[in-house]
Amino acid sequence: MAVVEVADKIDTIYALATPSGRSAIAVIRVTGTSIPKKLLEKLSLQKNSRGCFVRKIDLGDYSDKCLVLNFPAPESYTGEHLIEIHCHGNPVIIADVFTLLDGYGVEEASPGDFSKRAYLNGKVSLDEAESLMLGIQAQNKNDLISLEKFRSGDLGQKIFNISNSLESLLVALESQLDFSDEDGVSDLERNEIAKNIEQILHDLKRLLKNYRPIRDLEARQRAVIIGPPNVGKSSLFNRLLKEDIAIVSNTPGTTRDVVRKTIVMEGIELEVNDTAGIRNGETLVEQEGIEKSYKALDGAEISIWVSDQESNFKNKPKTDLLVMNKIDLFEGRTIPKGWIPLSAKTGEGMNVLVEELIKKLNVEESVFYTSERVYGNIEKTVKTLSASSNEKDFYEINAQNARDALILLKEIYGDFDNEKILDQIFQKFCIGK
Amino acid sequence: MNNKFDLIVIGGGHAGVEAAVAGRRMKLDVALITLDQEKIGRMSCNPAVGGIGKTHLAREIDALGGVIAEATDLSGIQFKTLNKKKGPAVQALRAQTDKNLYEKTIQSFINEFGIHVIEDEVEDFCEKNNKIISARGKRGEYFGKSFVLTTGTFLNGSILIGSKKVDGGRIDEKKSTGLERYFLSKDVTLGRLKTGTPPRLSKKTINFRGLEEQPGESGLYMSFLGQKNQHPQQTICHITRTNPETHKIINRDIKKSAMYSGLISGVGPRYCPSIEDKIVRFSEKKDHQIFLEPEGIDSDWMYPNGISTSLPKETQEEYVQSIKGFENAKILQYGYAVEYDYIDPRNMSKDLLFKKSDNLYLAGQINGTTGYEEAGAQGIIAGINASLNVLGKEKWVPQRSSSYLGVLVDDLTKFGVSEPYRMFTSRAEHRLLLRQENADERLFESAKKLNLLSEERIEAFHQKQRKKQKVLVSLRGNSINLTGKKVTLYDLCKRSDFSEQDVFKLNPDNTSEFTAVYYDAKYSGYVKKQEREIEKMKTLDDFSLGLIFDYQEVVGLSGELKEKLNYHKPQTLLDASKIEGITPAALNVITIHAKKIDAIRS
Repeated sequence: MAVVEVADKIDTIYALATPSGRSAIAVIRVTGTSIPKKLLEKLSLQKNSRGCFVRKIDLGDYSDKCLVLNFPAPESYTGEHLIEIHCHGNPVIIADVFTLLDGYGVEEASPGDFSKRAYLNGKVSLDEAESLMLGIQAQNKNDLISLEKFRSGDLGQKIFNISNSLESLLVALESQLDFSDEDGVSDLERNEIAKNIEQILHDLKRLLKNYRPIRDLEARQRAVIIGPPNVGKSSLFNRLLKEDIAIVSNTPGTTRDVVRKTIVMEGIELEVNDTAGIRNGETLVEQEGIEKSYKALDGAEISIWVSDQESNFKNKPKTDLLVMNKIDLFEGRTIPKGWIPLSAKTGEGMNVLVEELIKKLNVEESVFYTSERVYGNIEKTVKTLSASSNEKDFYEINAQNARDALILLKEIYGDFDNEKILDQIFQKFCIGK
Repeated sequence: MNNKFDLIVIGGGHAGVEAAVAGRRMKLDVALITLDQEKIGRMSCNPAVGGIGKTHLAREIDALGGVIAEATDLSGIQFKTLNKKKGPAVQALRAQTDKNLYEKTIQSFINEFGIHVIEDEVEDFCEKNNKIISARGKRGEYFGKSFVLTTGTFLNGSILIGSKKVDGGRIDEKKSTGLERYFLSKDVTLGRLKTGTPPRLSKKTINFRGLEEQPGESGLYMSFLGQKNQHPQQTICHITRTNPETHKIINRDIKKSAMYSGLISGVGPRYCPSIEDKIVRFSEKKDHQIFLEPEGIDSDWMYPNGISTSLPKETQEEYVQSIKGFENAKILQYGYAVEYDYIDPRNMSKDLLFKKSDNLYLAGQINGTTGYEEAGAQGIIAGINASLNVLGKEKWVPQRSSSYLGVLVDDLTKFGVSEPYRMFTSRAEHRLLLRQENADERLFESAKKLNLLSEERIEAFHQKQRKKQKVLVSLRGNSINLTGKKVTLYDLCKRSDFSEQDVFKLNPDNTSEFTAVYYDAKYSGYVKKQEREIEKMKTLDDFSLGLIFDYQEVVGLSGELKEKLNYHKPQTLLDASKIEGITPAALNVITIHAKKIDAIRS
């Protein structure tokens, strides 16, 4: 396995592989083509002995008993020599291990460095690198399932099939152009070609429908809680979060900024926004907060209007869900149709709200993810192939479009070769006077 | 006799002629050395010029002041537009020529241009520091500043009929030898290609009754000079077909064909198979079409296009007579295959300079192509550049984006050939823009700068442009109301809901150039796309690959590409894109690799 060697580059890098903060164990990874000898001595590791070792690492005034995993090159994630140090998950210990590594000339990695090296050293392909990226960004179980399909080359096969049809179309069209004077080539009707293109476009559009580019994945779905002041929006927010994040008080107008938090419901990630109460605010600060509340609605997948009474609110925006809060205070009263009765305080009715939220969330079972590059090329292919002509130049316009479309599709996984088109024409038709 | 010239062209075929004419247009003293001056401009294969893709080349040669199109107009006995039911980008004018009249016309051009014709066989070059000083022939030595070599099928040519193999570049003509030593001394391996011809029949022994007739059209001209060169008397052609009996005879004797007996090692063109090949490869086909092309108005020779062969003479006689109309046909010349040496065109740079020499240019079949138009196209490029070399000026390389000439030299020098190379419109990625009707426009600036155009041609060009301008002004200046919006007629040309006829009727100021302008407008979107691609190329040029030291590290490239890239060590992505076999996908991978290295370093 070849290993990248670039003059002057930083060779050995380290990074914390587990989330920062307090935890039972923290994992620090170190990788490089030549990890400093002194560091290996410090960890009592033989360069080429693959395995798992218990080591008491001296951190100056104290020591930490760590598990050290040694992966000699090239059988490692990055393809380079890689060491994992599993120390105890105390930020102080972690910081001291970092200091120790710094002392040996090892530098802290930038985000993505480990994967970058894995890619450069041939441990992962471009496709895998793309799916790896997706894996980290995946936000629900469906994303992960769809990734599996991406990794297994499902989309690749589909694109391959479509480019085959496109290639046959181009062969047919080209034979009508360069060899129309040949006896061996029979005329191909326009509607035959049009039908062919229609089918290919249909297949491509289905891909566009069933797959989504990563860019959509980065933007997680959002629900905004909005309503008049002091109706219990923050209580509802906290109930959803099942922890105290927002400031909850009885004085109207305390949530001036939008508070955001991400929750996971039945495997789906959802960002919930708590907003300031809407009314004609008395102070400038409150006015600003109200404006922010309205703004938070832009682009949100779900909006939840919370109130504690049915009164007509002048500035009520159109929302997806209507919640009647504080039912514990007004027992036995009639709930208007279309409203979800609940008590953020007791949790009564929350299950109904969660059910409604999940229903509204955009989770199509059949949607799979692909990289933006692949998706973009499919989009461009559709656009290219859609332009047609009804005139004399019908054949060459469609040939040009089919050719350009094929180049776009082939760019995804392979390459375009005009010789292959000619080859097929000569195989299929008896050309030559 | 004077034996010192500026430019020496060796070979008097279609490549040599255009090279010599270009040299004279550029005011050089030019010598044309050929085996037999009576055969300058001879059509060794079928008596026709043009075809889809080929006409595009012929018109481009014409736009550069070449002679192929004018000679065709002066000797054409039938003209026809191919792909008439399709759009202008793939339409092509094809002409049947009077073979004799064609070569006489070419010979009179050579004479008029004041080209020194020398009959001799060049056997060697005298060279000093990669610069050729002289060409040594059997009869003398010829000194020149620059040389164009066009050997056609004569370099180590052999003629094959059945089991007989004789030396020669054309039937009953000797081959040329000696020059291969020059290339071998340069460490260049010669490849072998083959081509074939059908038996030629005596017109008066053919029974035309009952054969399908193919009439021509009037008012069509190959050259942009149009009516200046009037056609001779016109004629009609005929079509007949082979039948199961013909196939039975050929199948019976297939092993006797030079093609199938193992006598031939050269690779023949896929698009021009022999009748043996057609019958073997498409055995399900019960008959094959044969075009009967007269070699001249007064000539008794007929060229039955579609039955080229290397079967023995007796079999040729038998199968010919099994064909309708040929029952009593007499063969004037038997069909034969010809094998010849060629040089891998990757040994040439895009100006067709042989890379291992400072002043030797190669054109035509020696570069692995087939066809008069392909030969002429290279001839004019080689002639222009050999002349520029003499004048000490920068070379001229036609571009893919603006001409089939560019497609031709780019394909040849980048990919080499695996069979005799023929032009097809599908080879041009900007096909919609490279039309036979606008070849003059596409090459005018270059041609003018290179001093290739006579006053007459410049005037003809401007006259056409004035006609186009008139239409354009009218299309831009007039508009109609469409659902409350004003739309210019020019913009209507781009819409699929308006036909050419619709716009024509709406346009108040029309000339004979309407169609050309209409399609210029209609395809303007493709011009923009092309410009974007050229722009993209520039970006590629700005992308440095200097940091990639070893392509073995680049994941996702084939072993072959890695080796090529390591060999060439391209400085920029553009350099890399020019390496043979590099695909867009490969460029993508290289780009990502370069970016990652960059990222690691920074």
